[in-house]
Amino acid sequence: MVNVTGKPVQRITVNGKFIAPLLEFEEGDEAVIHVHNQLKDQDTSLHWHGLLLPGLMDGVPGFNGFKGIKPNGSFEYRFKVRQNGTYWYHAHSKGQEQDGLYGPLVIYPKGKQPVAKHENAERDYVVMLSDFHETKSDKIMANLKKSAEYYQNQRETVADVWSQVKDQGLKATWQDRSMWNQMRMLKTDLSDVTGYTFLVNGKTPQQNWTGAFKVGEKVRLRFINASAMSFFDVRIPNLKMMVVSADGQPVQPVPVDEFRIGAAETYDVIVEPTQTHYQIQAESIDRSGFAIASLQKEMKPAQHTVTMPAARPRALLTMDDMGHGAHVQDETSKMDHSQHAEMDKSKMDHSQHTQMSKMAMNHNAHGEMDMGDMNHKSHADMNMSQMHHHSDKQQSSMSVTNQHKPQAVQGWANASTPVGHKALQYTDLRALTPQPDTRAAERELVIRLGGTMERYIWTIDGKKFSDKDFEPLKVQYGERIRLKFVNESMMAHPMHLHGMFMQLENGQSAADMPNKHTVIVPPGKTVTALLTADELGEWAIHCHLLYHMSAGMMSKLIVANVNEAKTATQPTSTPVQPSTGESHAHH
Amino acid sequence: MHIIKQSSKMKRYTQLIVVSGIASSLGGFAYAHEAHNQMLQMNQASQQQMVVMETSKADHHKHEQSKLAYSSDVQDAEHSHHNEHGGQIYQSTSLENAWTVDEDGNGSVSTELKTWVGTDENKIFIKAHVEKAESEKAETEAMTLYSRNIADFWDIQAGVRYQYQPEHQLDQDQWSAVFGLHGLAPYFFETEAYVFAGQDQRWQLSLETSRDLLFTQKLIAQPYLNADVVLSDESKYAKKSGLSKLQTGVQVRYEINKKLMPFVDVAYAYLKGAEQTPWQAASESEKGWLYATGLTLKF
Repeated sequence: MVNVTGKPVQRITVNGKFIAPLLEFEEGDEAVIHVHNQLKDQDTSLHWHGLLLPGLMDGVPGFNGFKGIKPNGSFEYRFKVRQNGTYWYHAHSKGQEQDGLYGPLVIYPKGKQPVAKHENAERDYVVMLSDFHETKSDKIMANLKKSAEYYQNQRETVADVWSQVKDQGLKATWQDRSMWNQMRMLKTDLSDVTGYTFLVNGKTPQQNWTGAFKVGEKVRLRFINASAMSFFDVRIPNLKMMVVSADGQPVQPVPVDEFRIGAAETYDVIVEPTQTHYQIQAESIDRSGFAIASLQKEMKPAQHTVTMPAARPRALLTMDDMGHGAHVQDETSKMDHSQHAEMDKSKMDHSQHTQMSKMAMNHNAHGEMDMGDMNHKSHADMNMSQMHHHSDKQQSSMSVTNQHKPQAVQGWANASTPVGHKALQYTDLRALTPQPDTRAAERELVIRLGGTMERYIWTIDGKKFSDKDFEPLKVQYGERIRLKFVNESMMAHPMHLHGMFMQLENGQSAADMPNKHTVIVPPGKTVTALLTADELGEWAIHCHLLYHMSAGMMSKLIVANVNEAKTATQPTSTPVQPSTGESHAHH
Repeated sequence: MHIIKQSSKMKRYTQLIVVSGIASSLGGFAYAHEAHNQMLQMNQASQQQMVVMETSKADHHKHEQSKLAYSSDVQDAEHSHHNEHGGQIYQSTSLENAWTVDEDGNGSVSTELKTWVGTDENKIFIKAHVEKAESEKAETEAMTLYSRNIADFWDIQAGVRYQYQPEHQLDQDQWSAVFGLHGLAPYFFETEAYVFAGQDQRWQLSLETSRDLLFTQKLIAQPYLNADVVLSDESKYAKKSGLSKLQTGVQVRYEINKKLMPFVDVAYAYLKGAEQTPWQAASESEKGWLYATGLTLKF
């Protein structure tokens, strides 16, 4: 029994803990991890997410001869630790990951010497974000199959259509909506599952995980998004973050105010706090809640009540997100965006009062709550606090907001970042040390990501992993490949490759491309990455949204020495085109 | 927790991981509300009591390993894993109970069961409808269909329909073959279209379509249209051919949750009536308003 939200539920524990414990290694170690399965009637498995290791140790049942761990059975994982950085581990069996079988895994450089001077930090904390649900994973999946709208509680209503008609006229409204209707897609589908309580290191926002610091210290925060289904926009108001590592791999430092983190991604940031208290805010992109944590000056009493920040406006998907290019960015939505940004900022300044305790209560009830209402309410509250404070410059923009009352912004990628704030983009990431392999791709593998929400079927190249005519991707050992992820669906997919790092083609030179184990492919977009196939074996490549993977969105990349194992057929290849700028990820 | 680190000189870390369901609720409570001694977070793992595992010195050559695995019969192991990635069997069931009154105050109660079980590609559908008008015996209609997914939004279905009409003197049981289409049409119209072929040259078409209009996330109006067309009917209780039944209306439901949905329903219905046969008199067409209230259960 685990009690996170107040309702005791049965979940999976590791060594008696809900949220598996932190595992720490040093580069060069030989890791020996003995896993014993005490689950009564299910197989389990553990996958070391982002680690370079022999295929058998990767822990995906059905791959490389690994057969899972039977009830009451054991498996000894044993591998040489060949890298350093922030990683994590989780089950690769059914929905066990959602049910609690995940934890952080940190590998320190040899001798714990930072890989670069700018990585020197006096404190080092894991900040693992995750989404906890009172319903068990198998039940959630079953519910999605009964009705894909089972957890959609932010759908547009008749009133939304009516206000669009009033604003834009009947014709424009029809044009905007007819395509969505024909495609049978919802503009509001930012996350398939709602009702989550978001956790930091297993703690609810009210439990408020807190890391201590002394002024003058540098603090390394290792953000891991261990969510089953959630993306977050992460920020620490009034504190600049220096991104030093992405997916465990060091990058040249990028100072940012916020970043979006997809399921299964990790980012390490270094901060230099000077105030007494900071709040780490990780807001789910559907704006249904926050994962909350704190940084607190040592020896200073912590605040007793946790003040929940107001939600940012959620984004509506656009035609662009569907891959139907003709997206017209209309001026009003652009303006709304900046106004909201101002509001967010003002909120920080005035937030300590009644509004916040109200928000905190709302959070408890958020499973049943109408999220549209929540946005609305928080705006109203903000406006009130604004009145009381008679604050200076923002007044004007607030009153404009009052008239217009925007509730949503346009486009998946729109995080409502305040004006003047820097949000991390994939294009900012540059490898810290030059890539050893800067060859151009010999061949391109196109990986089409598709699916229908209605039946809750998700596919790679039109096939589910379970399909009889499913074909694995095959590459030659040592081959240099371009993986071209073409997202034909209206949802973002964090695509994860096991066993090897991809070099994300983000507009940087070949030597500077960052290593990634998971790349977000936004709705309707194409993202490419280069891969040196230097690890023999069978490697899973899948969407890291748990229920997408469960629905079939998984494939197998086989790296083989074709000469030896005569099994490999000539994979369908397309002529390699020179890398163009157009397909880079902007997230 | 049983995680152990051996001395760092050995440069080998041994971890023991025990994956388990939870034992006692008391214990679980304690874990979840564990002291907020957050500064220790990073070190907790290393401070735990350890159980030292015996480890061998085996050196690992990854290439050897993976080659080995590669040559083994992977298909076999893969098979069990299939079901976790798209091959699963699911089910869905809804039960709609309604009390309907027509313009003249004649009431009837009805129950409609719809259930399916199967994979994404292959399903069995069972639909049953029982309706009892005041002072009449209950009529029953049931269908069993095999459903095959043929396109993103569409299934074709084939099976049998059974009808039981106790008010009839003869031929109370009727069987028909059914062939049809089930899916979501563009603009989100939930659609079912069937052709029925039965005894006595009974050929019939039916179409049901509906769409949700959301007032809020929970208060949902569902305009719908149900139509039956009789192509031919030479049974003892034949209906007039042509458009024999049309019912269009709006069902407004309130989703207390996704399992429990009370509703009200206002509809306009048209019935063409019965053919003159040796076993029944002809009847005139009827039309009028229907008012219903009921409860839908989904599980």
